[in-house]
Amino acid sequence: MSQSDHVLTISHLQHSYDGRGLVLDVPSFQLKRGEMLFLHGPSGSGKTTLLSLLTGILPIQKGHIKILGHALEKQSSSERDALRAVHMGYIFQVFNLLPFLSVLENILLPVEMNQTRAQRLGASGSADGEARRLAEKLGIAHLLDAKAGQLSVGQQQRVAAARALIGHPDLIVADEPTSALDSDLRESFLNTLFEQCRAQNSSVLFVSHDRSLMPLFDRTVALAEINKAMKGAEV
Amino acid sequence: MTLLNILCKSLWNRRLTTVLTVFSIALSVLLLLGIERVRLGARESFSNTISQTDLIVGAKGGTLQLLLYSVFRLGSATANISYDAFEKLRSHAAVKWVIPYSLGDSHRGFRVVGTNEDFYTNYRYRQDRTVTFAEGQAPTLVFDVALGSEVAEALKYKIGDSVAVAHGVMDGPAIISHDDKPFKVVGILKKTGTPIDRSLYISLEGMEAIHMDWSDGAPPRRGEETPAHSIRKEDVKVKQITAALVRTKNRFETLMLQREINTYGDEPLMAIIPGVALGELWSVVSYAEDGLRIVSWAVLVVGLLAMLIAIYTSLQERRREMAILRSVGAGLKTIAGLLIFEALLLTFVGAALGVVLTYLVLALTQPLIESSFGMLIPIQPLSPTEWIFLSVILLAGFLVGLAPAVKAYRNSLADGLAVRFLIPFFLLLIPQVSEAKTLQIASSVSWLRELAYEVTCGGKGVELLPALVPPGTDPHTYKLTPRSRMIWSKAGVRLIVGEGFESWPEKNAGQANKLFTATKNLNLRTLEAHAEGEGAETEGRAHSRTKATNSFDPYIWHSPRLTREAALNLYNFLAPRAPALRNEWDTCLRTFAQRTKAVESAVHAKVATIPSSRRVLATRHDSMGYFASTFGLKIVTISGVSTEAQVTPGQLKRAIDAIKKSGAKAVFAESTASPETVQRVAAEVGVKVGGELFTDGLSAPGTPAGNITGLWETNAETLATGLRP
Repeated sequence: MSQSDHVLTISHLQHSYDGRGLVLDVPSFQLKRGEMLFLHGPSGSGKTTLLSLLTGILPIQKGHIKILGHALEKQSSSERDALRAVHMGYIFQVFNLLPFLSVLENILLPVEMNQTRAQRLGASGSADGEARRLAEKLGIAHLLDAKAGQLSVGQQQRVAAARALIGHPDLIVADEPTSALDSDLRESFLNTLFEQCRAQNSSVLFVSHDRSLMPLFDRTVALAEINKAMKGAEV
Repeated sequence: MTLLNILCKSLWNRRLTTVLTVFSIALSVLLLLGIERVRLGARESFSNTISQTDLIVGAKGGTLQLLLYSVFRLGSATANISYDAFEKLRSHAAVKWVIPYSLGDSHRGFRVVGTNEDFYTNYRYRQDRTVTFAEGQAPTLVFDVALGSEVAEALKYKIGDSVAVAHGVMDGPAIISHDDKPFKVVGILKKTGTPIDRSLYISLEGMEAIHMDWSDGAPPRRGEETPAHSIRKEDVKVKQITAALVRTKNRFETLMLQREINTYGDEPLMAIIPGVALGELWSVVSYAEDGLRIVSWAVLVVGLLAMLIAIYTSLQERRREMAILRSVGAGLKTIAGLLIFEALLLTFVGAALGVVLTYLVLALTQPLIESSFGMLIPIQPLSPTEWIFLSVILLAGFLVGLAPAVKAYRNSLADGLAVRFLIPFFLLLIPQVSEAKTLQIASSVSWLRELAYEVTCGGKGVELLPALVPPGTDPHTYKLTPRSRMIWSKAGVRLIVGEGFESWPEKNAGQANKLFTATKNLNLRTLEAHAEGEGAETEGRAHSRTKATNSFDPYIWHSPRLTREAALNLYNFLAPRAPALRNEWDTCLRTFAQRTKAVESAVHAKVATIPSSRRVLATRHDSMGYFASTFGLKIVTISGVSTEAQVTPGQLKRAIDAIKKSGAKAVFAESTASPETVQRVAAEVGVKVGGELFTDGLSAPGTPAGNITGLWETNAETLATGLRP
């Protein structure tokens, strides 16, 4: 399999805070295009650090992360910001939305923030149209004009998914997005998310400590296995 | 929907704080501009106390004195001017009009001014206002008097009242009174807001008449006075006046006339230009002006600080906002710029509102201020000074915005995309508490978790939460993280070592019956008693933490006996909470106790392999006391119990001496402290570093020293290896 089939490639990545021992030591890790990967990462396994590094929030201290052929370690912080803006969608555990904006405005955020992302809207062309299409697919079309702060947790996560998906990003990073949902909501949320990701060929890096979701994914990796520095990691 | 739009909506979302912030800035600006306007108004009113008068003429003396007695009715003249000189002045070609003042008498503290009708027609104050009457008219007869508004108000005089003039100037009742010649009130002047209000006005003839029959400054004897009714105005000859206000025909002549008067040969006269003299007087009181300025700037600083505090405190709750913006691609600079812009925007709106408020307040209060203080505050466009003020305020707003921007920049770097701190506790607690049917046990250190693990047959029927202090971390300097605080708060029971071992204040949170203290009810080793037996390190001991309140050794995990006792206590504490498991746990407790005894014997055997003369345990801090006393080792320490304590050169020297004397063959490092001191001491004494001891607790699970008995075996092995020849 060639390099270009990988959305994300990590090699010899190491990270420590204030030089106090390694928090992260990942010799090798890859994510294929269109792959749905479950990364099992309980707290303390270096999860937060890994996500901050591969989204370009934290600068890389040692090693290599390649996102769609871009070597993050060689980029400036603004270049990494741009890369994140154009190619990634991020879903938080909770509180994904700016409560004072409407649902539609929240979904449109990535497109508003970055022109390049706005040009990748796909078939429907207009940002508004694409937001409505995604909302339709995710079952939140009737909520578009509501204030984000008034939504239930489940609805908020769907809005977050729509925002992550808009503008066809190559990689969706989801950090425990289902942990605040009821168990029957979890599966339906994931299925809808996957359906959309497959439709636009986005890879998913799904981080969770909830192993019951594992069977839904193409592949499962335990962070503890790929991170050699797990011991003494953050509490 | 741009960033500006997001900012506006975010501000609207925090509208109460936003409005309050803007308002506090607006109020500061209002105060600053208001005080500036009042200051200018006061100065203006002051210099407009008298207008259109080009020269004030009096007898030679002090410039300021002349100004004070002629304009402000303060102090008094030392000499008078002859009426002849006054007449000459009046008929001078350059003079347009002259107002004579004859001063020197008073009525109940208010000055009496003798003057003529020119005063009522020509006197001007505040540009071109004239003296007018509220009631009545100007005095026409010799014994007529007109009252200034303040006089009439203070003394409650009406038209027709009779007034006796006192000789000289005095506040209370007259000592020498001209009561033989009473005056009749014929008019009351309108308020002017100038010293005019504080005087009584009679004619020059009236002034002359009351002093008739006087000789050498003494009043005539009773019965010898000329009766008042017999005096007619035409008969009275005015001999002298005190001062004269002069209006010249043009400015050039003012200066010529001033020189002429100042060099007048017949009597010593002096002429001053009131504008110049007033300016001099104002400069005397300008420190009050500066005081006002300082106050208003102080108020502005407070206003800006309020904004800083408002933005800064909102940052915490807005971390989520920042994280979301970052996740959709906003850079750190964008976030910082957003905050600076927010501060600037609030300052700008606040300043603009402050300016509007200033004009509004001025418009509303101007008539009131004028009528009650006689001060006219002009309503005019912003002066250059005020524009500078506003620019400085905007600049300060920018600077104030920098602080939260830098803070947000740092937060953002530290937080990354993690928003865990934003999750309110209740959201995390509710599902877990409702699911929690089993007893959750939280432990401060992993040794306690292990102890609970043993007692409960490996966590049977309970949930053992992770220990708060991670293995390999110095427990003395440990601070609670949000996550560990959450674990602590949700636990059903909490286990601590006690005796001051846990230094974080939250350890006692919650109900007391949920807390198990392992050192309680144990026969602990006293630190002081132990120290006395040791010699060298007694004086050098420096345990900052244990000094005052805790004199017992909390390191019970080094004692097999105390470990067994603590296990029994823990069983007695936990068993009532799980009656069904009581018997099962009891069996496990006994098995555990047997196992510890077996390991204890093995450790004894291990220590026995060290020649008895070499059984000296030298380490950096005195936490292995139980181990030493149980297994027959002598202890020498470098510093006291606490690893926080810095070792002083004196202590170090004493410790080195003691180690030399004791014959220790090796010095041991600790797993949780830096090995430097130990390496230094070892080098000084000339012995080796014997290895690393686990003193503060267990190491990570799965490692040899990661469980209770393994700790003893590992330390014994390290000691044996290090001390054997």
